Amino acid sequence: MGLKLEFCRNEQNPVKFIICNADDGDSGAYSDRYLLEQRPHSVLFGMLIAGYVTHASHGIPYIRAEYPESVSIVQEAIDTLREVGLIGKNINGSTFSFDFKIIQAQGFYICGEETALISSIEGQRPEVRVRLPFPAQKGLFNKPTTVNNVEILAALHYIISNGGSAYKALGTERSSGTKLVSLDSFFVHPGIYEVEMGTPLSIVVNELGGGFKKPVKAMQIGGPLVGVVPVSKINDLTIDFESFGSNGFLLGHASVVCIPEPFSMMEFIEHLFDFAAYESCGKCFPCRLGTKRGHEMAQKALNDDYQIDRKLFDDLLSTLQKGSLCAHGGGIPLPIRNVLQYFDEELKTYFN
Amino acid sequence: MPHFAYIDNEAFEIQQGETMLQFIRRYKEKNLVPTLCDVPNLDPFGSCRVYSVEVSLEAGGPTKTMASCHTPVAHNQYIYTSTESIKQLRKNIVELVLTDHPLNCLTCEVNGNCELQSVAAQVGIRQVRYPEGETHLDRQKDFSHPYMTSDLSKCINCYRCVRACDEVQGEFVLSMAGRGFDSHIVKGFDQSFSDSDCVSCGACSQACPTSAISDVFQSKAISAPQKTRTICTYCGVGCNLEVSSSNGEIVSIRAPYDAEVNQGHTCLKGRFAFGFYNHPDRLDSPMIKGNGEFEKVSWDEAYDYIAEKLNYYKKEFGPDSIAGISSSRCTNEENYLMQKFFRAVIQTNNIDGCARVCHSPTALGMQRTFGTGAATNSIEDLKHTDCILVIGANPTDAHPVTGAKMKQFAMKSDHVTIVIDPRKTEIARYATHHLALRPGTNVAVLNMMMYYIISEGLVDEDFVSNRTEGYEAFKEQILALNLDRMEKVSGMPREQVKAAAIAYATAPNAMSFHGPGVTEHSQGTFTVMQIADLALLTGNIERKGVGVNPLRGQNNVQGAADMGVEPHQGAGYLDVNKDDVKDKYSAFYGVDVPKHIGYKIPEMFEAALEGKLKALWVIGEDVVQTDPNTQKVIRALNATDLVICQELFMTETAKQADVILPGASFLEKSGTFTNGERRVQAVHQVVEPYPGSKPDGQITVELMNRMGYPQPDYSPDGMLDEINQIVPFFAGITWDRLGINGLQWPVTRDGQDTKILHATEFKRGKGYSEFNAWRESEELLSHAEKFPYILTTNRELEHYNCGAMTRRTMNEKLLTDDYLMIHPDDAAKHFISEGDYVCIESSRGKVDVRARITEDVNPGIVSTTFHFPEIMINKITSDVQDTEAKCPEYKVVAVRIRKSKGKFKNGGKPKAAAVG
Repeated sequence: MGLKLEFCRNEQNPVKFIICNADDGDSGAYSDRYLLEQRPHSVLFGMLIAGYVTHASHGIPYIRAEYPESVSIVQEAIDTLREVGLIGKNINGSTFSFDFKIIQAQGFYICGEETALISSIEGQRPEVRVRLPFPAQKGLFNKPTTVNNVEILAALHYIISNGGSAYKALGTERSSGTKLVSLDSFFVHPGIYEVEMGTPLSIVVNELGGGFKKPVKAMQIGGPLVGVVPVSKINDLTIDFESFGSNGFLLGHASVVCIPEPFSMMEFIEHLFDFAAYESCGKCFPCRLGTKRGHEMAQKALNDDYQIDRKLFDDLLSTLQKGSLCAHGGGIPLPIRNVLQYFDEELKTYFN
Repeated sequence: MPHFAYIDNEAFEIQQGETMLQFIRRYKEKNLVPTLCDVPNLDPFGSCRVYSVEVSLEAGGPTKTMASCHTPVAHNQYIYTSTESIKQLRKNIVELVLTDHPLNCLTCEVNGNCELQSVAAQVGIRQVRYPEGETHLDRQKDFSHPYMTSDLSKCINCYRCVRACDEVQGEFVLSMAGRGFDSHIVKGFDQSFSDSDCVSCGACSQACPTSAISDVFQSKAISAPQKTRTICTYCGVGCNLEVSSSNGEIVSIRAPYDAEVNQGHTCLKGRFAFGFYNHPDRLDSPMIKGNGEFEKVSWDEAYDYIAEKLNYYKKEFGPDSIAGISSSRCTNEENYLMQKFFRAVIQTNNIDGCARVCHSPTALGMQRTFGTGAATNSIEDLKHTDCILVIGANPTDAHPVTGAKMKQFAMKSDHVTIVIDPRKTEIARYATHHLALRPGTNVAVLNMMMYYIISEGLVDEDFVSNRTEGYEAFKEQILALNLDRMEKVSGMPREQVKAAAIAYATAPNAMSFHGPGVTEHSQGTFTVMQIADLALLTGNIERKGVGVNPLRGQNNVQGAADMGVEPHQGAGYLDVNKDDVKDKYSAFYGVDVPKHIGYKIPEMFEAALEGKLKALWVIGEDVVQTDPNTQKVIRALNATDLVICQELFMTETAKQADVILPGASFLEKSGTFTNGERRVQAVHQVVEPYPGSKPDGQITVELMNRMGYPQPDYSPDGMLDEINQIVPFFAGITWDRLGINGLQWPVTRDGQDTKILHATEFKRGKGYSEFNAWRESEELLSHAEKFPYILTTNRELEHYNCGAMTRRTMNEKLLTDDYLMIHPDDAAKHFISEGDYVCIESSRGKVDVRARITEDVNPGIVSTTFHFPEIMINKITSDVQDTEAKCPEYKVVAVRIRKSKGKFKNGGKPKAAAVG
């Protein structure tokens, strides 16, 4: 985040934007919603500080419209800030001016990608843009723009109050601070938990979550475009980027969606491709065509007398991964590869 | 310190800011890294991913797959273009593309010239392994438009067409709808080409890598084996064209990407409106009129007839009883020959050209202020300017390629665009400041602007004191301006004018562009001088991105004047009435040339009506349809014993002629055209002249010979070798040096051309400022009381001038007739509805034109075009002229209007004869 803010600060432009990406579209993730509704002032404070250090004066909380309570609560918080004179023109007689305008996201998953998000605010088709230029140079309406997620902005208050080293002291070497983990209703105690980075996954699953209500064979942790962790790996992982990365997963935003024992992994693959194809913006060839063809093959394998050519399937996954313009098409192969790796027995009838 | 990166382990120097793909293509063959979405004239986009490469930070080190088309190359990068895994990736991507593309290449119009086909072959696709799935092969074709076609079942969603429509033309007609696999190209609001707002520029068709978007000429097909580079014959932009022909017939036209003028773009006239060249209406034989009927004769008979008569008139009534009007549509060489014919063979200076009725005040006004009557800068400078001032010009219709560039400029938020025009032209819609003044008050508004530049202390004092003269007197008079009166007569609030003045004067670099809305006024020359004064006051001269840039109307109107098609200046702008000039020309032509200034076009007509003009030779100019006060022009032609008309078609002027000579179109001859930025470009013959016609230059040469003057046969290289000896700024221009992008004059003997004029000193020494006060037009002073509306004239994108050519192409289907723009309040006052015929009447006559109700004109102002002979708007325009250059005042006509009666009442098509 510091780097992004620094790039934005270095740009010479009288108009700059701070965007809070609260298009919390990942299945099983409620951390943004929790922060927006329970800690709106922390999020707004983070944006205000980001504006202060980059000399931006416009803050845009970009909140998914499916969270009407989040929108109204954040709006109330903004109104309160204005009433007490903490936002607006020349705040507290200083030269710093800052104000907020909430934009409600209209429900396209790809708008969580920062350049597509920017396009959607501009009223354009939400497509991923190429970098360069980076949004910090030419972002919203071609003005320097910083886009950050809710959790990071909410952490700024702690960092400023307690100092960077106090924050850095939390967590592991490369994963500082804490993480909000959402546990779904397969857990005995579903809900949101804030854990220090580096906390063993087994503690999250067994102690905080209280274990599973029903038999679960795997968990997709971090969103639909990240890894699928078989339950056998629970004891090998800790909640931090290094641990997940080195084991072939991704931490993402650490929401946990359980895959129950009886659920077919082929259906899971079919569902992932369905999701990826439905939410593809259609700009780059690999994602537009590849997610569709992947979905068709999975459907055919499930419904018809058809076995997927494993070489073709691998080609498709690597094409998506290497060739896609953004992390949408580029991300979908990871969970599918995890499933292929850990559930090959279950899947082998579908492939030749 | 130079920076290097490696292409497949070989080091090459990189350029700051270039992408990996640009870097690779500078050193390696174009298709080493294939792509399907990259086009030279569009920004990198990143959709196809076929251009992926592997990049490492050390030789043979761990690599990352990166998109070469939009990733900047960095120092010490190792780029691997063709590893096995990259080749596999490309192949896999193209295989996916082919799962949703018809596999009927053999019957496809672009077979052999399809980028998808060649990339598929290059990456080595043998089969598509995916099971049959959903496709878009059942999409409907669109043949609704006269030129544009689409078969979107062949679309690969590369977005090139959308980007071309946005980034090149700025029309925003094409866009992508739907998402993911359902993404698809739509036109307008999901309409057909013909129902959409498409302006038929063809940029999308040219950009499309397949035949998903194409044109009726199938310009991407390889069936035409012959390709010829030449220059467009329409406006003064001077687009470079690549004409495909087969067996002596023209098949299609494309715009080459390496053209400096148009960078792969052109408009519907340049790209599509070539069908006139072999239209059955083409004149196919010389003709002589006897008993009111034309009879076909041989060339020899025609030449004998003409030569005999001209010799007789010359002997009997003197050389000045003969006059010529040369053509700005013809080549430099032909114009040179035509003026030479009059000066050296007839021995008169009675030679003029169509610039008289459009940009003669530009040449004169700029000569008075700077010393040279030509654009100071180049269109490319739009990339280097901060502010453009567009006065009396409608570039998106009349100069579409430059217009599109200006529109792109105006749409960028950090640019300032000032438009001074009574109409809300397309460029005015994007302007920062639009001064919609009353027609005929340019001088008032520009004086107001200069008042504010001086009074606000925005004058570039250094520039003014070092490089100009006359400023002190000028300043005194400007500051004495009666602002109340100027505000009142122009209808422009002073604050609005002040804001525009400050914007122009404070921009680091400001360029001005002007058109006939400046020149076709009784104070046209003064207005041009004011525009030049604006540049002098603010120091907007001598560098890139500034200057005074007239948008020349016809393809070679600059060249015609350069070549001496003017009654007061011979080839190279030398004043004929000076002794040394007379001696120079006499020595060069080997004949004693006259020293007194000849007739300007309006003076030719006056002389004819006085019985002093016996013969008039008009080439490629329809004076009856396009010169003002049609009835008077016809009377003048009828009063002239011998009218020779050299034309492609039986125009309104040709009908009045005694002898007709069939000339050749630009596609049928070679030579040079000079565009509005002084760029002399090579015109190459594509096909043989239409049967029975001859290149105009050859006709002139043959007549010269017939009249006893030795002149070698017409050839562009031979002619240029003659011209470069007499026209100083052509000194270094030879046929072989022109290359594909031509040379901008002045060109020194060693071939060095000039992008920016007046860089260190003006042709006349110092720039000269002279105050001229605004005066109401004589037309309004005499007639406004009885004729309370002001008619002004304009152009439409689809047609060109008198329409002789464009009306003989499918452009006629795009715009079928002239129409009158009228404000809703005025329409309501006269009970006029959209599409009704409106009778417009001036003191000269009346015409009936269909109404188009629009707020683009202010109340009290109406505007129309003169493209169709059915309307003949010039029956009502006045013969008031610019006081200095004698350019007619087409832009201010006092008229009254009413809903048409009689045969027009119910919208009957008016006949040319139906005007009383």
